[in-house]
Amino acid sequence: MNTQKTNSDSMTYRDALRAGIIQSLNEDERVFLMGEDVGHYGGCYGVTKGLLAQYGDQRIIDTPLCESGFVGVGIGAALGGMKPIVEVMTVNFSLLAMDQIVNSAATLRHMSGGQFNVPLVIRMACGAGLQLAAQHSHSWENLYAHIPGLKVLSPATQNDARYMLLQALQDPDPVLIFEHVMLLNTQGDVLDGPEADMEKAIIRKQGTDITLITYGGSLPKVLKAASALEVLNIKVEVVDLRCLRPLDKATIIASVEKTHRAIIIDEGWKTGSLAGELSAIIMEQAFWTLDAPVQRICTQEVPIPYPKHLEHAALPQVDQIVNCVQRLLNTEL
Amino acid sequence: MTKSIDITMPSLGSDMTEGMLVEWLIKVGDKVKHGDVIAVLETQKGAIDMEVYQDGTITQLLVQPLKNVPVGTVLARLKESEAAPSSLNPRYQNPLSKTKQHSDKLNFDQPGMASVEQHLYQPQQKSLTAVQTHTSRHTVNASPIARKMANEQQLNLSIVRGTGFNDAVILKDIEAFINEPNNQGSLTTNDDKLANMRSAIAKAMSQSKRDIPHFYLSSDITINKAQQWLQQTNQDKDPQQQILLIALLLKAIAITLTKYPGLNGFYHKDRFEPVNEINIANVISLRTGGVVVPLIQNVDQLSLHQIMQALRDMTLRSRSLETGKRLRSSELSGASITITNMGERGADRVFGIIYPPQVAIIGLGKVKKVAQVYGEKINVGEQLTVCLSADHRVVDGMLAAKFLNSLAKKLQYPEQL
Amino acid sequence: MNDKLHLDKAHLLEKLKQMLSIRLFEEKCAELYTQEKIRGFLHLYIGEEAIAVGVMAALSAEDQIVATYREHGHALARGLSMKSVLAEMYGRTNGCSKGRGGSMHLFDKHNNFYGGNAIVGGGLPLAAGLAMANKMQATKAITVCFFGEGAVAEGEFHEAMNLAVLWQLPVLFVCENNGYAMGTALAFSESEINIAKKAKSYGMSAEQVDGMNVVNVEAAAIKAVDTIKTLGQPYFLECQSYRFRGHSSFDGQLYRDKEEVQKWQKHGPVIKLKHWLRKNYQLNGNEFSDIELEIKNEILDAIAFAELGQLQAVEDLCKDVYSQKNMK
Repeated sequence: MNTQKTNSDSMTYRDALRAGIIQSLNEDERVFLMGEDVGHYGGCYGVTKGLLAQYGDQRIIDTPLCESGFVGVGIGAALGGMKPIVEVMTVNFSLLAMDQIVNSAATLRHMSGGQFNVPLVIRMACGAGLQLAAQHSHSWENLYAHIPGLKVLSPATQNDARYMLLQALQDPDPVLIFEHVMLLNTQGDVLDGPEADMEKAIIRKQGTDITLITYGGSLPKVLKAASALEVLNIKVEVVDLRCLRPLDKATIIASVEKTHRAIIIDEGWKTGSLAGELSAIIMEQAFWTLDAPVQRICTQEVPIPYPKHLEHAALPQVDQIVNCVQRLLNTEL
Repeated sequence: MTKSIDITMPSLGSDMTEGMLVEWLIKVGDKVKHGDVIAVLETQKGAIDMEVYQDGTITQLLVQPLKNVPVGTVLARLKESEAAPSSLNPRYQNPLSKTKQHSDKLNFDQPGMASVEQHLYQPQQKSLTAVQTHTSRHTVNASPIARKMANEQQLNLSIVRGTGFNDAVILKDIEAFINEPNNQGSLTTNDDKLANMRSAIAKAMSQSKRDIPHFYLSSDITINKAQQWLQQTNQDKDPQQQILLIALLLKAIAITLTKYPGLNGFYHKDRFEPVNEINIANVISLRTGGVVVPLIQNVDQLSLHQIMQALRDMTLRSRSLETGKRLRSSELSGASITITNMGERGADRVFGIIYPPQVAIIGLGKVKKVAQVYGEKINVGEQLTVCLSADHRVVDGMLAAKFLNSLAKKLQYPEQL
Repeated sequence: MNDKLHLDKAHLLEKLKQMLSIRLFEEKCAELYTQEKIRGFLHLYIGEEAIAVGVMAALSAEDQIVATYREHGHALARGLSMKSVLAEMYGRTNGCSKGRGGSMHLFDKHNNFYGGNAIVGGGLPLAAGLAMANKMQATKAITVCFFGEGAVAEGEFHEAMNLAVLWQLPVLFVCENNGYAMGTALAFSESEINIAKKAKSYGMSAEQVDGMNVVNVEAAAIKAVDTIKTLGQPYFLECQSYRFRGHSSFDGQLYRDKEEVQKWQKHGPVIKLKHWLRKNYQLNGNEFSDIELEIKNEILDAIAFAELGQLQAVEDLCKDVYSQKNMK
């Protein structure tokens, strides 16, 4: 799986997503893309722009606004031998399809005693930061990561945006991919292939003093904080989870065992969060290696407000991460 | 209204950070009275009976026997009796109580011990409030890995300075401590309890010598009359009923101390706080090595007979390994002054090291027959050397000399003791 | 009866036998439930046998079935053995879903039987999706989706109607209208009680059929399948029927009168066909009791099979949550 960094192109996260979809469509004729405004409109966030003209309406399918209906159709098509990529425009609308995702996609394999599997990929935009207010700023990766039978991916880099879809399509089981809206315009290197299996976490920065565990839209913030801390001679290790279900516990624990400290940065609300789950895993498996209490930096317990300054205050931010690290290491000035 | 009271793992000395509950002697629903022994604890100093300090009914037992828990851990709860007086028995009043009235755990705050401990080890730059918070909690903040490491090294966490989150002792503090050659005495390489005791003694004594400006005075005291009086008194008595010189000495010291309160108390936070009661600790050497220092309370108010009983009982229970009887928790803390008697072991005199936060220790040498000059005559008589080690921050030589002089006079009138 | 069908005696006796099999099997299930051999929810198909038997008669082996939680009848009519169905209800490894599903989740890949879906309305989009895959892969198969009239109130019903017509999917929707969604009569829950009319409003071919008459159902299903295959369009059948038993095994049936049940029972699918055959001298002497005996023996065999089935090892608890290997 490891690919040498022989060739690397710089591209935006959005272009990387599109390149991944194009490669999927080219490589397997069973693959098709279905979702609201993926065709004529070009995708709510412009990810699928131009694909309808290139692949035609049999493979790029605009759906009506019926999340439960078209997600269910995607599940049925997957059962029937196709490899659908279903785009739920945003995670916010995915609740309307939750019955199909939770009661059908996640359960069919088990309920049928292993006879039927659902090789479906569902992509959805997620996250806050665009002043889209309370109903359009959700981070519900955790909701889906709770469900046995599903796999949940959170590409945080351009390279993962480029290749995770292909990896997901190789998987015989339903995979959900969360694409954070604040990453779409970010630019970065894309290699010749994925850096690791889709279920593996990747250490984005090596360090010895403290482990920062994060995923998706929070990764750039964490890396920024890590750089700021480096100036203060604090060596931070950054774990990019990439896959939220199943969690790569081995990588998490190995890092915490090395640094003895962990902070989890998670854009979900703190209560009942994935951060809580990660913290519990660390307690269960690495308690005696801890040198400080595990900390969580999560979104404040409030529906995401519209005004910029309040939205900013609600979400995890770089200075918060820096402060938390210093507090934990007792190096506050 | 009845109040629920936490019964916590007591700190029985500045060097005690944890203890093992060996056995509950009560069960939920039992009515207990102040002073009842409710549990047996295993500590670095052997098995100890744990007393309860309130009257009430036991409502919960929270810790199972044979579990090691840090000092301050709530072991049980009781519901205070309706009639229980709201004020505490003055015997248990803490010299720091003014600053600690808010604490529910007041009864378990050992006079000065933990506080001085903390005072000694708190990094200088830390604020006073931080010290107070720390002392009122009794437990040492330490990270899991630091605890694990300390446990492996048999290291008492309370002597390690914490630099982590919330000033917790963290891994690097342990490593730094271990790598510091001066601290080797605090580390033990095996799990021998005696070694632990050794380190506790080492720590307390090192701290004392480091921080307390000792000065020493001694006085050869004639005890002819005391010995004669004892001989008369002990005539026709069973050995069990006889009174020994040490009881006489203790009583004399106690009475003298009532006139010299400057030697009887605690030095804490740069000031001396006298203690009203004369609670004298008595160093008892263990045959297995090491010492314990149980105390006798209100010695000035006890009869010689009572003092003798207390001494016998205490010696027996101090050597619990051999006797199966144990000291009580209250007997190991709260002493306001200490006596060390090396005379029985043949030493002429002993200049003791003060056990913080006390400010004085009295050393008793062996009884010798000496030539005593009375006017122009020489007589054969008996004397012993009493040595006083005192804290110069608190007392000066003049006072110390007067104390010894006064003690010598007291011993000339044994019938009054 | 319906003149478009070739009504020979053997065919009709076969339909009678299939319906009677379901009837007797379900009655035995009710009994086994009281003995705690079967647990969980148990929804019996008694009274509605003509629908499954009639529709299945019109299908080919490659066609796919999506059913509801009241699906024992569909499973048996489709060709699943009594053994594998009963063993599933016993929770044994020799059950059709290896014991993982129970009564409400009968699955069988070999028979293209896609469950056993216990969320009302949830199966409709799924069936549309299977049909979409068939269309995309240009197979001859069609997908048949069974659901009750209760599902008509769900959003997923309407979403599936719209998508099936919009995308011209080869799917047959079979609404088993037994008059009650659990205990709520149709008139209490729908503003328009003609369900076929609702389907028509989406531009779908739809008709109502007497769901108590197996011949009528079969005829309508043949016509529907024909239309779907030739025109490449979805089709909708509303089969009007009645359930003689409660919603599940634990139902006081406070919502309907005994007289109403008795009235429908007189026109039940089994008795109706039996009387018709007798009247037309197609069912002679001991033929009926011979069929009955044969079925009862099959049921006894199924019980023995289920009783002998193994319980899955607890060590395998988390099996079949994910596939073992990646597809390449």
